Amino acid sequence: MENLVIFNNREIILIFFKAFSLIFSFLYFIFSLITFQQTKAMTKIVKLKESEILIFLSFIQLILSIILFTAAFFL
Amino acid sequence: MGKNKSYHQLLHSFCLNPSLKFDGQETDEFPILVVRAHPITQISWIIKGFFLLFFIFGLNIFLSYYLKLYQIIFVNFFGLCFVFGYWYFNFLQWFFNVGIITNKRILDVDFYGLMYKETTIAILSKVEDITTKSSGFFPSFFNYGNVFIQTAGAEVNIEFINIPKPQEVAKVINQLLKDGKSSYF
Repeated sequence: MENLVIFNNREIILIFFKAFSLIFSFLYFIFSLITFQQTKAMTKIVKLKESEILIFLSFIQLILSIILFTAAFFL
Repeated sequence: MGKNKSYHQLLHSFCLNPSLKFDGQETDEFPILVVRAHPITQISWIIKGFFLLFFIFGLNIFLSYYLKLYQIIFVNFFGLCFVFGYWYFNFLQWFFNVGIITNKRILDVDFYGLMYKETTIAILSKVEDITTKSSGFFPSFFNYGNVFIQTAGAEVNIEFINIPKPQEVAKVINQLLKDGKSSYF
């Protein structure tokens, strides 16, 4: 019976942690991508002085999400 | 209020003669007033963001029993990005939900969520009735409320929700209608 136990509790937690990290960082990446596209669309409809700053902030968010997703692979 | 005098109040939620351009603007058309929701109405998502931050930092105590240091750093980094994303998304929603009153038209630009956008336009000459509504403690104290602009016939009606100084907005529109739509300032 003891031979059937493949993972101990700590390993199960780590597997779950890795799976959730990958899933949520991927979802965050999708969210950032849509936000970036939407910001570009918004700034085309309402043209403001601050438009470039907002697009830059959206781009930063997108870069952060890529870093997160990449980091999630190496956990 | 001179013709070219431009000023902004309440974190750009009430802008007179702003330097703003919009999609579909005509060559002889210029914005006179731009309104957004009063900043006080946005306070809830700012506070919720701080609660999320406290929750993430509180979670560290629990995680330290099960995870390694680099994994805890990842969780914190992810949490910070999530809160930043939450604040930024709500800020964009506030910033781009604008009401624009020009010398020719009234525009209501709305963005809901990430996918849906709506622009409602009413020609000034079609405006029939303007109603302002401000009820409750906070709206009375901070002077914000709703402005409903009713138009003639099949034209769409326009609503500006939770905007600052609703009476003044109504006054500007009334003055534009009275003065032949183009000589308010």
